[in-house]
Amino acid sequence: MAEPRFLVVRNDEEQYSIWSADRDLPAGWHDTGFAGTREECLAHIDTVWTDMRPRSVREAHS
Amino acid sequence: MSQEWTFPASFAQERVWMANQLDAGSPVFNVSIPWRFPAGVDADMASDVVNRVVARHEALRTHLRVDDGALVQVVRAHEPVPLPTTDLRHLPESERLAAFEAVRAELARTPIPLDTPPLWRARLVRLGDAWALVFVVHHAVFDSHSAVLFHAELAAFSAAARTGAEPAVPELPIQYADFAVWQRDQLAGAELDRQLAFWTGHLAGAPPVTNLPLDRPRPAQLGFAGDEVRFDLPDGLLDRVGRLAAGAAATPYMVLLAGFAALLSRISGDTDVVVGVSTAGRDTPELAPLIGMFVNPVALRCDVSGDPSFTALLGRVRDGLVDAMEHGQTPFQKIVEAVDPQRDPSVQPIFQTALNYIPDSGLDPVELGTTKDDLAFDITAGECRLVYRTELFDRSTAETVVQRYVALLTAAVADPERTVAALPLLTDAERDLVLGAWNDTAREVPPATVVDEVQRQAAATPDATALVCDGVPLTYAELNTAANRLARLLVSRGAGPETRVALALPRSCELVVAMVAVLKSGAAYVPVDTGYPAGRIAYLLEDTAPALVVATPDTAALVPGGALVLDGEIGADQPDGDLTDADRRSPLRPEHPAYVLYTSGSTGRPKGVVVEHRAVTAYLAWARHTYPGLAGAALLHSPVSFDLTVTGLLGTLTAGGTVRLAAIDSPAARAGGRPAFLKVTPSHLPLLDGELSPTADLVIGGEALTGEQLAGWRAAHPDVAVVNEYGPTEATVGCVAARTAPGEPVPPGPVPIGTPTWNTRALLLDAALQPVPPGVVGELYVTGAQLARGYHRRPGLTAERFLPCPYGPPGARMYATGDLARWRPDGTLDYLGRRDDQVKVRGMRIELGEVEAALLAHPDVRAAAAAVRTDGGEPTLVGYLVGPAHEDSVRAELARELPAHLAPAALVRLDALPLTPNGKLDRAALPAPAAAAPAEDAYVAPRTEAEALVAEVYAEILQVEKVGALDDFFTLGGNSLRGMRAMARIRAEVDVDLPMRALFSSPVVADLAAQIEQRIAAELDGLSDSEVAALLAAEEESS
Repeated sequence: MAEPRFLVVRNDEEQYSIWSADRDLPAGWHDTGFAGTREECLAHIDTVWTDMRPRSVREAHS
Repeated sequence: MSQEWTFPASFAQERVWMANQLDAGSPVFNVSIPWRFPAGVDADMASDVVNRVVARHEALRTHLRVDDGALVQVVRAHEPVPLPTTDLRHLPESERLAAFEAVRAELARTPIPLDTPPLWRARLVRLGDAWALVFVVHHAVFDSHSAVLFHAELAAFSAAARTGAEPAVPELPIQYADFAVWQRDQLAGAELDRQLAFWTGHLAGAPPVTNLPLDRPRPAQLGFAGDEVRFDLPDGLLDRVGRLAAGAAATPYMVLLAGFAALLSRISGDTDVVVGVSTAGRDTPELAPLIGMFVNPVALRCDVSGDPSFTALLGRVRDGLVDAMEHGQTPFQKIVEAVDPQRDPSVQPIFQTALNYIPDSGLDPVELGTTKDDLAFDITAGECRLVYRTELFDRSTAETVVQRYVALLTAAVADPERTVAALPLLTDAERDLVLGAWNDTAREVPPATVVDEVQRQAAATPDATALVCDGVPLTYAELNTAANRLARLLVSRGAGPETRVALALPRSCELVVAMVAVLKSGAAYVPVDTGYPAGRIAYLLEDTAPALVVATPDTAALVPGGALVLDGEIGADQPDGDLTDADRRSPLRPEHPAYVLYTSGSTGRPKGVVVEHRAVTAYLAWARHTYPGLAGAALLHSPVSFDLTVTGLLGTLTAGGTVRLAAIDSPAARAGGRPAFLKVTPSHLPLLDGELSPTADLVIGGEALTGEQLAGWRAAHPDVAVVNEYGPTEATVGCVAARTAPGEPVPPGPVPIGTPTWNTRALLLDAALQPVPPGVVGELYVTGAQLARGYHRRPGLTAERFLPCPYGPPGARMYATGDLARWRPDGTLDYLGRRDDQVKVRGMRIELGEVEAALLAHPDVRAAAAAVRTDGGEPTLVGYLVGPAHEDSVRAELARELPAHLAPAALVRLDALPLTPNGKLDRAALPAPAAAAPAEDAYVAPRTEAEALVAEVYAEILQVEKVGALDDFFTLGGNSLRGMRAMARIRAEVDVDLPMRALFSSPVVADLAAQIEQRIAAELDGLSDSEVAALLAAEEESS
């Protein structure tokens, strides 16, 4: 059986997570366009989520 | 005596006989089939009609008997007997039916012994003009098709009696006993082997038990006690089931089964479920007109994995059922013996649930109060029922199972392309409860930093004692001032919001001052346990990348150079007022991290949990409200690297209380009288004597808690509130808690973890992230104000554990705890252990807490633990105990209390349970049991006469040369049929009433011998002295 597909998703605070590709994405979360196996998605997030501060904190800070 | 003939029993008769032996006093196998004679048939004619049917069918003249250790069916020559009559015409007409039902219920509920002919009871009851027949017959000689035949023949003979014509009944070319002989001949040797090979292959790897959500743990030995819930299917549902079946090349029964399999999978979390179905067992035309027991149970294995659509599941069920029916003649008990020879008497072998579709025959109105299965549906075109085992389920649970089945089936039939996981399981009301009412935790808590809260308290009570360490008190003003000075120094060395300061400090006033100072600087503190190995400290400092490390002269050597070393003078020159944002490198906001705590995962490197001020203040607001003791003295004894200490430290300092810093076993812990507040792990409980025990709040966290662990302490301190607090570091200290008020009793068994804290919601979800209903095990997800930001410098891991929350405000996250829990009916949560630790032994899910609680129930066990070890390859369950209890007596206690699969294979005695530095049970430090327990294979000669007898019988029946006192009947190759012969032999040797189930509960020679001795002693107790003397004299003479 094929490995389940996941999406890399992000909320308005620019916090990343993963979500099963065949489930409805909860409100307030957006598909980033990257899809793959669970491991591929998590590895992708490891490279793109470089500043883990929520966006509101980051913007207030700078 | 009338003439009789003996034949071998059929396989079906043998199976019913065996099952009946488990509780011969139960009417579970009674079949009640009343009938109303047509008008014009009087009592004599009616009696004659019944006698004619009995004359035609040998099965109705058959009983069962053990001859020379083999079960035989005994057929007697027909001797007409007049049936007893009851005339109800003296009653008012309105009462007659009820009186008839009473007669019928009485007969139906009276057990029919299998060894005494006939195996039926009949009575003629006169209701009005016509006569009715009450007829109750044992399932060993009768099945559901027999009922159809029986009624048809009654009608035919009644008609013949009235008209004088020949009765229209078919010829019977053979009788039931002929079938039994033929069957024994057919199903033997190579043919039987071939059929069994199919079944062992078909059932290979199947779970031995479906993990139904039980209301009570399985008893050590199942009985037949049952009850039933009757219900009607919604109008038109069966029609829609039929239409779906027709369109899918399936039968309505297959649709009903697919719905049942989907339900079982959803409520058990298992994707491989085995359901019982029946075959009529009348494959040849000669058998069609015969009354007798032909039915054979068949296991239907349903693969629900991969989240199939309902249509796909229906296809799997159809193929599985066709396959199973093709092999439906294999005697079920042969399959049991081949697949599951080491049966556990607490679990019905192979399947525990069943579904029958009997569209045409209605249900028997008499409820027998018995069941054969844990759960069994009978679906008819009219009234339906769910029969359930009352030892395992409450009525309310059975009613809920019915609701869920009907709702799920209705939805599946309406839209069969939906996946099984997407089918609705909860009622709207339940959904409102688990997502709404039980999570209604909203509470106004103004956003704040921990710094705001501490400074508020310091301003309010400057002269109160904030801290006592080594007998030295520090007031709130002194603590605040010292922290302000140090904070300024930290800022000057680079500390500020979104940076970290590592604290390599021992438990001391300096540590507390430094923690507050780091918070004031805006940085997050990172405790470094100075007792840790150098490698771990180095890893932690490297991973944290702190702006600064703070140490003392004693600990400076443990950390890299450049650390800020605290001595008496440092910071003394700094201003002592509270810092403002102008004093910080950037403004401090509630969204900034307050601390980073490292937790060890079961795999991989320790990870730093980043917790923000807003999450800490959210928790502290709830804690101050819940724990009045925080305004008094709180003993702080655990390392601050463990977030359990946040309550006693920051909770106390924001409530005006006094933090007493001391190791729990040091005299300083006792100085100053009993604390008001104390937080411990369950493993600490045995240490809490009168002086250490808190006066207001005892909070227990960090590990699962049982009433047994708490019982001793609670008895001595009934006037203290006890709170069981659950919380991963990722959801800030405690996010679910259960408070037991002073005076309130703590029942044995697992203590619930209660309800979510303020502004926190606890979600119990299944694998498809759907909420599970109350009572069903789900994974616990936490969402709300107390969520951590994530794992420091671990974006992938953070994304994996902090998921989009489908049940909260837009953009909300939920933390996947990896813990299993279930809702109790009262809206509180039961903690059921780690999902990863879900341990199975021989395929059965093990609840270690249940085993530990049973160990602790022994009066001479002070502390206990249970673990599943794989030292020898196969997972085995090991019990650990502390206390003087004798191993044999612990074993005996466990055997009485626990199902066999929960009884530890080995017991290990320890002086004390090993604990981690945080005070939790150190599972990794539990020793392996001594290699190869000698009892395993060592031969112990029988030690008593009873043991010698049992050993001799085992040896003979099982053809084993030497049987010792510790040998197990089933391990030696015994099965239920041989068991029956063994018990018959034993009963023949010693005149004692030993039930068949004794062998299942005590298969070891010594145990069975002990049961025999007990029963003999009990019988002797019931005799007078002279009777005993007479017996002894008789014994003398005979020997």
